[in-house]
Amino acid sequence: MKRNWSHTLREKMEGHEMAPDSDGWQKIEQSLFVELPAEVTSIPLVGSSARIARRRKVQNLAIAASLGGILVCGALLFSTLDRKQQISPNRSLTLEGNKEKLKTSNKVENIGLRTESEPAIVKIEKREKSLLRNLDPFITRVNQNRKEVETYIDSRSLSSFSGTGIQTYGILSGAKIVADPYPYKNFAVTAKQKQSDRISSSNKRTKERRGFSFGPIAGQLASNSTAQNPGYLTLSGGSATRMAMAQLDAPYANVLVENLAQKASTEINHHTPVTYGLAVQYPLTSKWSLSSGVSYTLLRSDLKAGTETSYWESRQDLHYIGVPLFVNYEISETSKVRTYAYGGGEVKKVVAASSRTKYVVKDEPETFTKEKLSEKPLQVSLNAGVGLEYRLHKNISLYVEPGIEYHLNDNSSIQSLYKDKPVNVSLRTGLRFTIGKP
Amino acid sequence: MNSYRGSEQEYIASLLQKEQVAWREWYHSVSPGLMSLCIRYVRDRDLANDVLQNSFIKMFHSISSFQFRGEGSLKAWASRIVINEALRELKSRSEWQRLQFEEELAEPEIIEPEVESLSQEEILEFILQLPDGYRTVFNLFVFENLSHKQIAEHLNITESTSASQLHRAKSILAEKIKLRQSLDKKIL
Repeated sequence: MKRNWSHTLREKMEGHEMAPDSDGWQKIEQSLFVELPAEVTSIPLVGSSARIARRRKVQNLAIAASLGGILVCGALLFSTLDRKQQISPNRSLTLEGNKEKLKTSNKVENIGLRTESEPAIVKIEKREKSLLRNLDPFITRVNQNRKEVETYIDSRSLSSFSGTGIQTYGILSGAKIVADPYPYKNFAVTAKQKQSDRISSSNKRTKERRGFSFGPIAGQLASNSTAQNPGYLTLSGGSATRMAMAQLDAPYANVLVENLAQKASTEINHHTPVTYGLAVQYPLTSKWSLSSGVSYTLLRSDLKAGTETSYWESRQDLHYIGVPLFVNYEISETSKVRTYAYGGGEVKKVVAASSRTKYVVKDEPETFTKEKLSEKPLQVSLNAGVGLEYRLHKNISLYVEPGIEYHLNDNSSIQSLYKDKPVNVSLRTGLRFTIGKP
Repeated sequence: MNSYRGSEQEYIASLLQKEQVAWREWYHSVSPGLMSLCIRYVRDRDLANDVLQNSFIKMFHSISSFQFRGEGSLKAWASRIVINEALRELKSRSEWQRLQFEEELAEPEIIEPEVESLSQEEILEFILQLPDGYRTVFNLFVFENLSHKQIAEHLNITESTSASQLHRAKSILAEKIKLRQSLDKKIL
């Protein structure tokens, strides 16, 4: 193929310029350099005073939870004295109170504001709206001649580019919420329904049991959670839209630009964690014993943010090694099977944390990233539950322990089930060695 | 030609810092050249503006991945982003698929037109008269110096389709240029 004349064309065209729209830069500027309050742009999105306020809340909660623990132990004692006495309603109330507090603290924490008051939330919303307003001409321009104006008008009312999901993210605690601009309104209903459903069914089950009733507490909690939020979120604890404004890298940007005028949402699914352990048990009296050892927990979370066709998908794995310290109280014992109640605490440390993200633009995978998270937070939890132990050998037994755990905030920016839902149902299983005999 | 007030290297540090002033200055410095590029690909002026704006947003977000490889590499990087955006825009058009897979029949040898006397505006006008598919292949082959293999990868077509599209594009261009020149002669 001769290229001389076409090559000449190219040479002649060198340096050719055309003026873009006179307000071209203005539009870009509005979408890139909208002034953001300093505390909102930082990642993790938590201001220092919010952190202090949160710490206070956590302390209060810790005290409340400890009291709850004492109540549980007390209740156990009572239950052995008078097995017909029902104590669960009281306990259930305490925990409900706790849960309300948790909702509040989470809400503040995830919005990442310096203050906890309502006006602050309003402020954020206003800012989002102004951001959106600034983007309006740009988005409209993007959609010209593409017959997408309708979609855009629709999405504008849903604040597609605003990342309002942050407001609702932390409040979710266990119900599957289908795309809704304000998921937690729905959640209130769904959760209540679920709660009452579970209470009625679990009451039936547990009334026949000896000692104490566990059902009503577990009934209002779920150990795995799926939540869908409008806007973009990441597992490292922030709104990607805001990150985009400040420091996002290319793969995120590709998805954001592609979805500029469309409804975007984030779905986060925390898998149910199971804790495996090797435990040692030391009997204190014929009924009471102390149990400790090592445990391993894998906390897996999946996140999908964007639209149907352009999105990113992350899977985060947090591997915990922990040391529990529990007090067990024997409820019944046969030659092979022993049932007991336990209460205590556990200190867990993330030993490995990884995150894999796939970026898909227009249904085509663009990039894969894999990163090891450097943040390895320490996690403290308070645990209570019932255990079933099957004796394999004289001193060796297999145990399964369903229970509830309350996780104190680890002050990290990593999003996990524990952060999303500090109180949740747990399942512990493993091998236990009994040493000594009183 | 675009005139940088400072060297590209000086710009990069400020652009990486996301300094608004630097980005503004750089935009004003390179956007006329990039706008010409956009127009050559998408033809429509409004769409070209869209592509340009989207491209700048992408540049802003991905500047950290840019690697400086000497003077001119920043402009080349920006051009690549613009071209990718323009191709994205072209591919989203409903008529794109139809255009792309037309295998051309063997064309006769192209008789070279005289192009030395053409102005930049005239050349652009001729290029813009080409249908999307031909124009895209022509742009990528002639202006971006891509091989047919690279073009095939970019556009999800075969190498032979790329080659035949280029041949067709050149043939149309040559005809149009010659027609215009003969008309001009008659009028004169």
